[in-house]
Amino acid sequence: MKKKITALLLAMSMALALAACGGGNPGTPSSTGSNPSTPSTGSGTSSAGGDVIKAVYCASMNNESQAFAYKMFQKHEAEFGMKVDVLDDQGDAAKQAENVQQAAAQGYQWIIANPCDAAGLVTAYKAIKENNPDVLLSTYSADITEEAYRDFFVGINDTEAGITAANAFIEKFPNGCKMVEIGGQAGHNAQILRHDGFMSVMKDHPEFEILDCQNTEHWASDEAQAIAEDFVTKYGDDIEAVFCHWDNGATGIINALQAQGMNDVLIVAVDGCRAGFDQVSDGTQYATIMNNFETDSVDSMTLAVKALKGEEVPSTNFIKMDIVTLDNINDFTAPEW
Amino acid sequence: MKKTQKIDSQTVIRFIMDHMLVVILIALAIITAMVEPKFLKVSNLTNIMRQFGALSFVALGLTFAIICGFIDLSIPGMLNICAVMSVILVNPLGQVGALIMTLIFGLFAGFLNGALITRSGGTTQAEGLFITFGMSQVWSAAAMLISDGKTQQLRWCDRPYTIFKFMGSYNVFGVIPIAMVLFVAVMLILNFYHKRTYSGRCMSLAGGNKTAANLAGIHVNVTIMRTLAIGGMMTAMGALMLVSRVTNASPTVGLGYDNDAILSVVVGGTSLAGGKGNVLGTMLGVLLVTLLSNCMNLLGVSNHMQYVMKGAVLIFAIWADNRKNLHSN
Repeated sequence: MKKKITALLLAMSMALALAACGGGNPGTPSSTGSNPSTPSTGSGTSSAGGDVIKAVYCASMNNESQAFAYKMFQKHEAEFGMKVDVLDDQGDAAKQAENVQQAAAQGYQWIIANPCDAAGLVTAYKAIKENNPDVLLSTYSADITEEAYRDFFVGINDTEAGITAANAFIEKFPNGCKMVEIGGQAGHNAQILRHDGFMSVMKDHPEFEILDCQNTEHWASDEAQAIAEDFVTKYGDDIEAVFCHWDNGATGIINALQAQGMNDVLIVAVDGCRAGFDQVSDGTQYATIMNNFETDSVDSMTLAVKALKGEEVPSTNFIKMDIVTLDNINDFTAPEW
Repeated sequence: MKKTQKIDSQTVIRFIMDHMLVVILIALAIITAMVEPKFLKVSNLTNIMRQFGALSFVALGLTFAIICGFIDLSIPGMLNICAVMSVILVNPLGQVGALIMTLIFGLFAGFLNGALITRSGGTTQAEGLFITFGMSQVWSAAAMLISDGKTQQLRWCDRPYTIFKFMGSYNVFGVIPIAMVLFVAVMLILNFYHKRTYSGRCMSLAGGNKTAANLAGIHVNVTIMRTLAIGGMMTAMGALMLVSRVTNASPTVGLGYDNDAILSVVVGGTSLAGGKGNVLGTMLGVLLVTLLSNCMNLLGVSNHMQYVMKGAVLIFAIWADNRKNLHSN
């Protein structure tokens, strides 16, 4: 009898877990992608005047900003007469290349990819352009190296994010300072571009001494905190400022600094997520460079509808990044993610 | 005379091989301290102990799983769901309720791994590997679902979370993080369980040879479920330590912890073939992994080179383990 009860409990929990995973929660990615869900051919017409546009978002659902971006696509898909599915690459560039090619073969009209590896996606996009020229290809958030192989790009300029952060430090420390940089996931496109943008400005400002720079293995707060703790050990009070590539990483850095009583260190991070807003509000973070994913998604869909109607659309579309500080934080709507 | 000398040198080599981990740790500490004297600062030693937190508990649980003959790859997914759950449950259940529910969930999830392995008949190491990997995917997706893909911050909780703060930042005598004290206490209990109790010893026997264990009257399936349940609970404990330390829980926080935990366990002397190993060795393994990152950061070694170092240490540990087995055979 005990065994039966245990088996029943296990079966129920498994069913619950599976049901939960298969649910249609708008904020949630579908399962990893070798088998994308069949797009709805649903009722109604698209903005392009035909059936519902079949689109697929190829990105890493283990990255919360990308998962949130998908949620924004889902939020607005009906307005644009679309059905946006997702193919999860889990941060694997090879899998992403495979996913986009599979999506083209399955008849998606629009493929949106957030490149894991800019160069890696080019080959897949090139193959699609050669074999399925009617498929609309775009990049999101980060761009690929060969613009000729995609129809348009919408997103932030990660290089610009690094430049904006550097300028925020220059404005705050006109005479320079000693600082460290804690980067995002090593080798990730955003990490590379944010670092490059930051250094492109800082190389012309010798009054700033970059004491050290280290990247994390993943976009993980605990890894950022561990690096910050090691930097505090090594450089101690010499650290006057920290550039962190993402707001949730800054949370870990703030913990590390506060544990050593270093409350005056100036922190600038990128993303403009809710944690970043909170940290700017309570004064533990000086500024967050904000990326608005809702705008990104809506702009992408607007351009896709136009392109599918045969209209010309601009090739590169950067979304403006805002510097959110305590002085202007009330001018912005606090983000949901 | 010559023969005696040969035996002596072999003994020395054997001794070094048997205590290679301690030798590496001491060498690493000496080299780092010479290049960067701040390595020996009390605050750095406290940092190292604090960084022990999550990985140490996860590795403890994995030690038992590997001794029992399974490499539990559900660790990332379980860390993801347990971490997110612990924060989300603070509002409805309060912090004590959240902590208890997370631990119970970890226990249950580990038990479920064991039940799936035994009920599906997939009791070889490879089958267990894939079943636990599958469960990791399930728990990761569930973590995404319940968190809506967002990092959950403790500061967003309406109810107090002082226990989390205490576990994440309190230092005994101002130096030893409470997480370290908890870890040592749990490790000693588990070591006692493993070495001094019947069911603890069953793990080694079942891991060494399941058929022989069955013939000896050991209920292998129950042993597997019990072992993986302990592993699940330790993973949940690790998630709580992680959340306490960083004050937030990302639905992807567990990424990479399986690699580091396997590295710690194997380097600590637990045989991947199962049947042999101990939690004290795992503690040294965790110390090595944590020290490696700390030393490399202090020495300014890039993240990519840190990967190389960890990989090299893992390969060396497996080589040393196989070599030791050859000698003993």
